Amino acid sequence: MEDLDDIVHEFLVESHENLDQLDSDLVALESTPGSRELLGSVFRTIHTIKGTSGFLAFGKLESLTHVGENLLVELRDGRRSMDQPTTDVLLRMVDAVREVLGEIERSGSEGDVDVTPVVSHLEAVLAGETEAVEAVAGEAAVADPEPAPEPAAETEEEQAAMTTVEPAAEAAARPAPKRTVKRSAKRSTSRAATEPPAEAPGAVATLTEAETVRPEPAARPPAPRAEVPHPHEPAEPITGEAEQVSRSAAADTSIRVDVDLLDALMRQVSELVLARNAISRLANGGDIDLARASQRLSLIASELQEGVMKTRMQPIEHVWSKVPRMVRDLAAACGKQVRLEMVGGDTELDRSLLEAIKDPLTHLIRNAIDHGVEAPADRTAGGKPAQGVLSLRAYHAGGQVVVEVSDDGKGIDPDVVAAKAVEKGLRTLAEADQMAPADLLQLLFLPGFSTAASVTNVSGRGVGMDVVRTKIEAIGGAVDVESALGRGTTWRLRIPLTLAIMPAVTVECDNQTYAIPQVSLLELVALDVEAATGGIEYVRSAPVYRLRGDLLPLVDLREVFGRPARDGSHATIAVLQTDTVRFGLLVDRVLNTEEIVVKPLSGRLKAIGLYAGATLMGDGQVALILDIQGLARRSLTVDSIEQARRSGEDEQGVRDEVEQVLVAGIGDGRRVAIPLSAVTRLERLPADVLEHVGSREVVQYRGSITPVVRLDRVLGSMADAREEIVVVVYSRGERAVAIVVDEIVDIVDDSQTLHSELGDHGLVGSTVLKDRVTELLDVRAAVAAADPRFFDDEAAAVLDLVEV
Amino acid sequence: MGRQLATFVLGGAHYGVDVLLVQEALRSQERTPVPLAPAGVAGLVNLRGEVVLSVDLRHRLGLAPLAEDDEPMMVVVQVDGEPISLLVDEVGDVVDVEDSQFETPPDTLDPALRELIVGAYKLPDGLLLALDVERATAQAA
Repeated sequence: MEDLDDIVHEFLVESHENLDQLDSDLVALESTPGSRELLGSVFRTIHTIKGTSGFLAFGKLESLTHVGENLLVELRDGRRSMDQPTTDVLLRMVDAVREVLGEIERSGSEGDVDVTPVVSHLEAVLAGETEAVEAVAGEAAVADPEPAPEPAAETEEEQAAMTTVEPAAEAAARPAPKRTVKRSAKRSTSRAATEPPAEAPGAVATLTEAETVRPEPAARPPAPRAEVPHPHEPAEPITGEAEQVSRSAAADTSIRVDVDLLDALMRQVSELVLARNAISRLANGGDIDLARASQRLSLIASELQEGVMKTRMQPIEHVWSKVPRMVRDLAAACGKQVRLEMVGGDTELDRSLLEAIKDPLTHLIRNAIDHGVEAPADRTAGGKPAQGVLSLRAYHAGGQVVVEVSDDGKGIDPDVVAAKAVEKGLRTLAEADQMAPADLLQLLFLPGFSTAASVTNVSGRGVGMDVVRTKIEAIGGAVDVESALGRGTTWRLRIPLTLAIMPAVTVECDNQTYAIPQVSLLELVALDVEAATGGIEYVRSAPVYRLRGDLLPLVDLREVFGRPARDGSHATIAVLQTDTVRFGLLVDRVLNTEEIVVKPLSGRLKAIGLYAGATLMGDGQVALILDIQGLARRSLTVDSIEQARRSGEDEQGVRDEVEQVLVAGIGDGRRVAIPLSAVTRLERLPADVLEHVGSREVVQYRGSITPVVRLDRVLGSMADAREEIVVVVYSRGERAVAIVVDEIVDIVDDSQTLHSELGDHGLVGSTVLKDRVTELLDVRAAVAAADPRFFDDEAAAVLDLVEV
Repeated sequence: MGRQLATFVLGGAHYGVDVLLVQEALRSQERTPVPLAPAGVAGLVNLRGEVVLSVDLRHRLGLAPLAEDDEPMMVVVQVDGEPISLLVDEVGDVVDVEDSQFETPPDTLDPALRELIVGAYKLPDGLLLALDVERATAQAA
């Protein structure tokens, strides 16, 4: 009994694979009716299923495939050519076969799946076709002996007549050029596909009627249906043939391996990689022989790892094989014309990842056809060909696989997205106005966002892109979208090659090791915390770092973890990129880059949302893998970054309750507080660098002449002359001002509630900081004292605004 | 009806869990702390290539932490198909207990502990407290 089960199981597995192949072959055949290779493949598949089901005594399956085979024999022998109704009925047969197989899988027997409607449909097509051919042949022989060049058009028309009368009659009413016929046939098929099977016999009955109102086709003789290749696609059959050859060659040299076995192998290789890491660490000790042996081990382990990973790799074709049929059905359902292009189907991905991207990919394709590609009429009106193009592209890039789904449809209008976001309360009008078009498109990924005006049964239920994004992120990938209004949209999925092993950077924070997936890492910046220049600056209370002129928001890992502040002066910024934000993560130091094996984390820790998993280091220690998306979500909101950026541009912005200030002494025991947001840099310069332009003091700073303001003089104090001066640099765009103070005392939090109005010229008030009365500097006035034209461009900008 | 409990000592008291849940008992090893984890999570350990969560039972039972130089032991139990290591002071024997010896905890017991301690077996040489492993390892809130 066990043996039989095994046979049935094998039969099921094999048949399912074959059926997927069959689906795409049939659709391909429709556009390349002459391809004998494809036909042969289809025929063999059905024949195999028929043979095996007969052997295993699955009667229904056998009778179903038997009729299907008869139809295919006619096709193969050239007594009939492939057209849409034939494809339809064959696809129906494939579906029915699948259904029966599913039932066998569930219950072990064929159950009560009813295959008779499909069988009779098949028989009807078979009988109807032969009849029609004979009828036409009889008439034609008398009417016109001239051979005709259009066999395909002929059958299509007849088939259209068979399924529904109306379009055929319509087509027949005019002396139809081939294109029209094809379209009407297509329309009728789409209808036929959705019609219940009971329709078939009725349609056959109307055949004669259609024949009689159709004098035009009768006048055309049927062509000899034999080996005439389709005149329109001379190239296609050749590629089909080549593909066929390579496919069968692959089948000859491959064996089936249980996935569980592969998983077990993968686990063991993972362990081997860990052991290798440990040994290479030990080998660094100096023993030359050990080092050599370890190097060899390392090499072999890498190769083994690669090899085992390869066994789990499958071409993305496996997922794509269902796409042609899906596109065909969807396009028909939406009344659109879509041509499918697939490039890079041989790009390989880990099996588990293939499974994981199936649904997101399906969603994107549905979306592209439903919302992206316009109706044929709209397209022609817009000057585009009536047939839209949907292309799937897969390729390797930077250690990841990129899968693109693009259409040449109407694109996504950022304004519509903005309006929708405001309407749904996801963003305020003001926020939406501020956003760049590319950022607006990112809003599509927010939960509960759907721009479709009406909900269709294909897509647009409001559970859309956020699900796609969640699923892709769950496997460590990323999604983004590009769209040009009127020209189309491209969705891009970036997927790691494999889940189990990934390159990562290990970092140290508070004596613990953490791993950061390399995918999220852009660069590392070594930071000298104590250095006056190039360090961490603050936008209000938010730490930032200037990375090549842009403000990079910083997140201190110690702070996230609630650990004591860093005592050493050195830290490293890991510049990380998530889908939406770029930020710097402050860590104590960077240790290494290595391939880490991802171990699942206990479900009890998932709620923290900061860890993507755990891994074992070379010394056997467990290290946590940081979830960069989660970290970003937890530590910074997109809004707060926006806010930081905006207030960085405008130092005079609304003040918070608490603001960090730089406290500086200006002589005579007086202290002045300068808002830290106004401080670009602190410098110590020898006193003799001060030069003069007219009566003004200037300093050469970073290659430009920078005006100097001595705070003590402006505020009427007298500082002792020193050999070294302390300068607070305040810069804004291209311009900078050096504010000379006596000494830097501290950086403290300044609570506005303690502020007093009491001030003087050049001050905005005073307050108590660290038990001392501290004057609050009017930065604007101080800067203007050094460079009266400092804020000129701002005034100009305001004028610009007014003019606009 | 009798059953077997694996016992261990925590703060001088004897506790027991169903022996069928226990995978192994071993010396403690270095743990990797998990920042921001719920209190009671003692860290992660590497158990022959598997990353296993470690729960500090002392914390869960409201006992003071173990002295610095005292090494806890680990009792690895299976909870929902996931191995979890319990940190205990000492590992004891496996003992046979009878239902007749069982009694629910007294009303005077702290309600928080009532959650975790199902009851006590009155054994000749003292009380054996039966621990609800699932609750004891659940998300320490």
